[in-house]
Amino acid sequence: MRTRRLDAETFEISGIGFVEGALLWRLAAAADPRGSGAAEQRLASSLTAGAEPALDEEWKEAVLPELRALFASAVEIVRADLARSWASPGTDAAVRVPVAHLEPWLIALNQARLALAARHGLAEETMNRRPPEDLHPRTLARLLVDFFGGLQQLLLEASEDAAEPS
Amino acid sequence: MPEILDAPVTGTKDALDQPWQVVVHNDPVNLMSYVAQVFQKVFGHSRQRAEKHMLEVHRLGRSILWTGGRERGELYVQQLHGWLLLATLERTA
Repeated sequence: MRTRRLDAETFEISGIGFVEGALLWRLAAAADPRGSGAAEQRLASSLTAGAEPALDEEWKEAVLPELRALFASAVEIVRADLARSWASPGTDAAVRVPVAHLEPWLIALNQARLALAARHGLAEETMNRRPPEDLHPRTLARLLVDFFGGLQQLLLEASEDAAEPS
Repeated sequence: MPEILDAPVTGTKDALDQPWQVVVHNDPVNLMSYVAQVFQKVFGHSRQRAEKHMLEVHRLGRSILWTGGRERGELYVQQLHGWLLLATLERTA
């Protein structure tokens, strides 16, 4: 995959083959923490990690709903960009991403990576190890985490290019 | 993009004035380049300063990004959580 600037308002992610497309279509599902306590907890961090229970309780009631709305919005923006650009996974598909959507894309990709890692218990030593060549769900989760990370890196580079004066 | 929202503020003036610090903790999943870019966006750091803090998080497990009043610290943590970094607000020792 690669990114390129089409015009002042738009980036394009191209070279999305069948496998990458199939993985990308799973982003919204991967980012959904429901059904995993660990994933839900990772996407809902407390303010003081338990050091100040009263503040954490206020945080839970006042701030977490706003953050959940932000995360849901980011995933929805990505889903809409995918749907608008590309009806189904195919060969050498391309997705057009408005520059204004770069940040939601980065957040949605991060959300998916963190939720997957929490859901499948991918700890630091696992992340630093080359995945074994098997079809265990944790191996496949690691594959997705790396795939979304690779795309995130491309968008970070695109984001830096967009920030630099022309 | 994550925006600063109205965070709850309670407690006495003394509690609010007491120095607090915003700490970012290591997370093996977040990309190092992502973390550095978030520091630049949230704190307005130069790339060099953002990378220094990012490497501190990576090597030492945590980095203090900001120290000051509680209210503003809460707003920074909220922004960092919006980017899904592991961040907490702590009382200074």
